[in-house]
Amino acid sequence: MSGPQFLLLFIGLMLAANLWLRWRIRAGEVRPRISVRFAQDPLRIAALRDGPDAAIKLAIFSLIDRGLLQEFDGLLGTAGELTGHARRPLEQAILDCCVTNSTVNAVFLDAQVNRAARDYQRELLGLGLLPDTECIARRTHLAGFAIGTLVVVAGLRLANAFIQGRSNVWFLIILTGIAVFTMRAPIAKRLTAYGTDTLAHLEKLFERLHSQPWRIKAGGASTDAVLLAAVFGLHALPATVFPFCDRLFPRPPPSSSSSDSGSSGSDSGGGGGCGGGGCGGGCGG
Amino acid sequence: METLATETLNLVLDDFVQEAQQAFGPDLQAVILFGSAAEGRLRPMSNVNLLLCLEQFDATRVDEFRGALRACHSAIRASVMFLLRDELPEAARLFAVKFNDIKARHRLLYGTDPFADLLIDKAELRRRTREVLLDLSIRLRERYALLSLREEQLVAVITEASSPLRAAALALLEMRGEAGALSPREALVKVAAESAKAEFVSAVTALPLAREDLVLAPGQAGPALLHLSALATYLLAGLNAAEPVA
Repeated sequence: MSGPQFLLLFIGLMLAANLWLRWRIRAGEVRPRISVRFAQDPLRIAALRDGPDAAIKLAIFSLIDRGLLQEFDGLLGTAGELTGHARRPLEQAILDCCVTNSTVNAVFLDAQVNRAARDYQRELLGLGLLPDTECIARRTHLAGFAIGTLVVVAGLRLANAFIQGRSNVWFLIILTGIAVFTMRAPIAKRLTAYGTDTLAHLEKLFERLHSQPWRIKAGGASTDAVLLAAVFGLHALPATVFPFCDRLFPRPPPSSSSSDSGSSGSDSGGGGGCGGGGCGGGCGG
Repeated sequence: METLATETLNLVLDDFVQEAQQAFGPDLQAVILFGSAAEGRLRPMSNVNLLLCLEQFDATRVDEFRGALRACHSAIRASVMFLLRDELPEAARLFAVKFNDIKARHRLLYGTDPFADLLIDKAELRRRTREVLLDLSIRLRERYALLSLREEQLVAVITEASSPLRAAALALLEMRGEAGALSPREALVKVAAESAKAEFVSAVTALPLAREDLVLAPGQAGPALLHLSALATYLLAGLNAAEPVA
């Protein structure tokens, strides 16, 4: 087989090994899709999307939105007796930290807050959404097998080339390096295939929320704002409705999208009707 | 503006039913989808209307359900009516227009259909429909006077008027024994066509456009609103004249 022919074959083998590796990793990590119930804790979603710090950010946002935490001049302070309304340990830890006014950075450095945020990490590991040591070992084992196969093939070809006194083997060495590099990438993925699927599923479930941000209202009566921020990030929120959000967590400089709409325009005004036609909890004509 | 994808809607509804079954257990009699989603005509602004028919409202069971409920509300704008089975006949009498509409267009997602043998009292339906129509006429006049200088604001008013008008048209045809299997939307189209008034037909034609695009061409919304107000009065007169068919 000529050199170029072997290189083509090797590239084909690289692609096949890559596909095989990704398929095997995925096959071992997928699980049945989550129920919408998973979304009852938006902080858990934020932790899945971007790690414990994202959960802390979201909890701060949610507490301010609900009026349990107040923000002035970059300092966070609690709103007196209302703090008892926070149910989640992470929210409670943040409120405890802000009893004496704290900066956002101080909240992120607080041990109790970090412990509560890492609990989400542990929960996600338990659910198989983040890779545990066993999962990483399996990935490493599969990648090792795929890389090993390619290295052996390349090695045999190199040995053959040297025996025949040829030294134009740099291209094969570079290709082998690329193969090793690309096949190490799946080992380090932050989420399992199940975690990636779960995030994609959540993005699909809440797409309508994302496409209609002008319907989002401040105040925390519904989970719309906090779920939108959990699934798509804090910067998906309409800046005009939640101006404190940009003050506390500035947007990264020249990012791709900024979809501030924020026209509420719900003109529900009373006016001259006779009321009629409704029965409180949902029988409105 | 995006409408909710059918696939997403069905995914969330499946989860909703499963969560309701899990939380309410034997107390759950039926889960019903009604309104535009039941007809597969969901608009960008539409809520997804659901009715949970329960044996009793047990707070412990509701507490178990509320997390999933809030998530469903955010995902598909699910608006849920919690109705006890014993309340159904009374609710159908007191809110005859609403329940007549639900009876006409609903989809059973779980359990046995409580609307299958539900009778809507025709006299009550007529009385309540007249009330709704008179209220609508008065409200539409006020909205026109207040908002028509900013015509784009009228589209939301027109959109909101469509549901009571459709329900009233269906009620009118039922009084006359002409409803058959018509949906409320088809009933309104039929009543407008029968009126032989071109302005009613054009206003009814504008309704789906307003609901879908949330925009009407300049110069269209004001007249459409007035025509819908006149149509409400026309329907009211029709109801006053119609004797309920037994």
